[in-house]
Amino acid sequence: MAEATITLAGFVLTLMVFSYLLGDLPYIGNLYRIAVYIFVGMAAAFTAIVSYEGLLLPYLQDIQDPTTSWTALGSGADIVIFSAAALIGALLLLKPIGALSWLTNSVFAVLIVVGAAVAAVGALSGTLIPLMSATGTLPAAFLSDFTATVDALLIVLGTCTGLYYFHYQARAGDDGAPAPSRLSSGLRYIGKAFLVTALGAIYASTLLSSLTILTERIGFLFSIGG
Amino acid sequence: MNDDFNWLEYAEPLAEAPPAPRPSALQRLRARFGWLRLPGLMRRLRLPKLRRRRGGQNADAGYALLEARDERPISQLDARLLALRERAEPAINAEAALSTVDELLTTPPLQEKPGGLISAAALSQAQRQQVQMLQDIVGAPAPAAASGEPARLGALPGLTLGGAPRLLLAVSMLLAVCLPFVASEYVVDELPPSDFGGDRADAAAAFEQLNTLTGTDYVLVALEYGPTSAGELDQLTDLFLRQIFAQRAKPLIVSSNPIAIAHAQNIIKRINGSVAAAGLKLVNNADYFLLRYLPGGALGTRELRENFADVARVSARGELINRNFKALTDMKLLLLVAESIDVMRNWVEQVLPASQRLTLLAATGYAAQPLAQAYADSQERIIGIIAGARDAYTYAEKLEAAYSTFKPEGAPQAPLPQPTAPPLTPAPESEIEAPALIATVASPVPAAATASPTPLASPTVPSIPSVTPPPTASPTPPPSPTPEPVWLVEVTSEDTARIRRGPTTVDDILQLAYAGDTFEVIGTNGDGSWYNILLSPRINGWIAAFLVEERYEAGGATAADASASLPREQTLLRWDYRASLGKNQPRLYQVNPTDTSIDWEYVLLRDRSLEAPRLAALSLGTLAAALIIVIGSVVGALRAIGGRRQPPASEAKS
Repeated sequence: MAEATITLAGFVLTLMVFSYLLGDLPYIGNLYRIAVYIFVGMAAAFTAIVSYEGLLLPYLQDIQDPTTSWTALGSGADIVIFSAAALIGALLLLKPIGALSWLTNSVFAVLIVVGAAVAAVGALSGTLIPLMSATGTLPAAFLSDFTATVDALLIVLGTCTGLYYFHYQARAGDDGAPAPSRLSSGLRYIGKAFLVTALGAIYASTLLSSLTILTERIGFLFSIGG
Repeated sequence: MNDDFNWLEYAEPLAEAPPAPRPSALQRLRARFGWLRLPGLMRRLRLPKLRRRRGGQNADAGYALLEARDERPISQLDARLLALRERAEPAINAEAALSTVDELLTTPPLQEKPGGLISAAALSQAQRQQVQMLQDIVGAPAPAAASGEPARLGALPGLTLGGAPRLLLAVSMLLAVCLPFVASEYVVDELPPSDFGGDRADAAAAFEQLNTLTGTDYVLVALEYGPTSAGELDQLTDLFLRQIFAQRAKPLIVSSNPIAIAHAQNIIKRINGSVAAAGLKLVNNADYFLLRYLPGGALGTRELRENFADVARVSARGELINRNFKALTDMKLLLLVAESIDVMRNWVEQVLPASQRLTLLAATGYAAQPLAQAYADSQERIIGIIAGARDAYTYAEKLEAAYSTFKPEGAPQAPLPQPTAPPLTPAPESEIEAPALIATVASPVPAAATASPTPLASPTVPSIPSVTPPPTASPTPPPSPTPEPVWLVEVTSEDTARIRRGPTTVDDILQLAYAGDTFEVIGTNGDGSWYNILLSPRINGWIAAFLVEERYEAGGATAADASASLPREQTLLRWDYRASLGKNQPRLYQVNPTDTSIDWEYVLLRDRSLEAPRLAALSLGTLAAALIIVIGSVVGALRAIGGRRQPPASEAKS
């Protein structure tokens, strides 16, 4: 019974989402909005529950039990850490109070800076350096592995010209207007071609993803009907 | 002036001044804590005044300039401010300023733009009245009425084509996508290959990597997608989890998106539906683990890397996982299903550096594939990418081929016990051994197996033994064990006793025990102050000697019996904070030890009847989308050539 109810609810909600195709008509247009509100509300509620059960509850339990400690410093340090986290969380809740919002902003600043620092270090060691080394790496057998060589050269060419496309400096011509050289224009043109190709591939892939999701929903509807 | 005119007759009575509205709670808070505003607080603390650099681009900079103006004569103002002042001077004269209002606020004519499917239907009566009201307010001329024609707004002449093309395109797309589901025999489409070709060696390597898992391996499965991508990525997650279970390995599922945890629960529920025919059930915190979710994006994944032992100690439900993981290197493999390249980069940047031994098997949707593939090619420790529905189909084909020796319908090769054969020993549902499995699987499995009629091709990959009824499946009673004295301890403490992971008071609490509870002893620590006891056949713990009394019993009592005799059997746990607050009884979470001897190949039974129509719908939908884009581009180009889109002359001049 519960399974059938869930399936029926999914069926109705799917139809409500598809009502978006009918446009912003009176009454019908509201169905899509209602479905979206349900999804957003349930997602927020579920997130709150998971946060409570998966984060707050274990921490609350651990700090009350002196035998369990997640640091080498003992349960006293745990209480300090938990109190600091709770204080930061409480300060975040002060945002609606205009007079105290600067406290929230201060906490945000700390969080954003720490997050950015972590991400920057990770990006440097995990992405930029490996990508740079991979971009400039040509196969050992330069001519024997022709495909890999062409691939590597294309990557180098695409990276350089793609970056050069965003280079807007040019010498002033006789009339004072910028007059880029032919070489500069040519490189920018090649970079533009690479960018357009990449964006086209991404757009096509996004379209495929959307269609896959659409077929999944259509299949769900037909699986109930059939 | 007419003195007889009584103004009071026409004057509206003065209404009583409405009472001042009561300030809201927020306003009262603001009033009360107004002194806490940063500038005021800094004044109180006599701190130097913060002022933004003069000439900045924001409002505060302008405010600072205005403040500075009081301290200097006007002649010393910046040229920019002087120019502003000169321009604003005429406006100081209100009469002069108001005289030009009519010129400044010329009301533009209200023009209707075609929109909606049927314009008359798109405007309700109330909306028409509002439009009319707006026309009256702005004084817009009514061109239709002036020219004697019927008003366009309010009485629109029937159908317009404003929204019709959009509806036409949507309907065409829907028809193309729906057609394969209702008329699959008319849709000829080539299904994806049943194996990854030479150009997809990375995807084939990903499959083989999962195929090398064993029953002692743990896999960290990171599900990083939300509800919008679930329709595409759930099927990949489903396949990966089924393969992991079939290999007897155990997944630890983690995510920085709580919704993904809910999706994982749904998928495991679906897999449990597959194995239910065999009388099996995947048990949380035994066969799989849903870890607590990781908040904070990069910070969360970094915490996973730095404090994996802590993260992998608590499940998403706040339960103790009871596995002593030390570090990420305890994982045989990291498996990431990500909806975007950013998430994948985050995992590669923050988690993979934990150890050079770690490798990441990555899967994405189509949308992330172009960038993810290039990224994975540049990283030696990423295996994959497996992307989209077509790869999922190929992966499912390979999975079936790899487990082709698994033939649930072939079980009658050996005599099957009767379905009603009782289990040999009374055991909980989750501890059903293979004999019980075979006994319960006799009738339902063939029907389930016919749902996947794919020919079972290659007999290779013999790593998983085929399902054959073990000889112990016969309903003959088991031989009675030789009676041997069993070393037991009985809890004598009136207070609740704590059973811990190790022989110290700083070790984690595994279970609570009460007076009268009895456990089998398997050893003691060096000085005999702690007993090592069996909580279940697979879990042991330590209890302090002064809390129990030891004794020996002759024969019969086994660890399973000892734990089964407890009223709180297989409970394990940790303090509930509410119990500490004295409100309720301690909340006990169930922990069900797994049994790797069960034939988990039944997880491979899945309904694939909709896969082919879905792929055909994907192909037709792509074709329709391409046609729509091409036709739209051609129409747009023709319009541009024909000059239909040239702006009117007046607009061009402006």
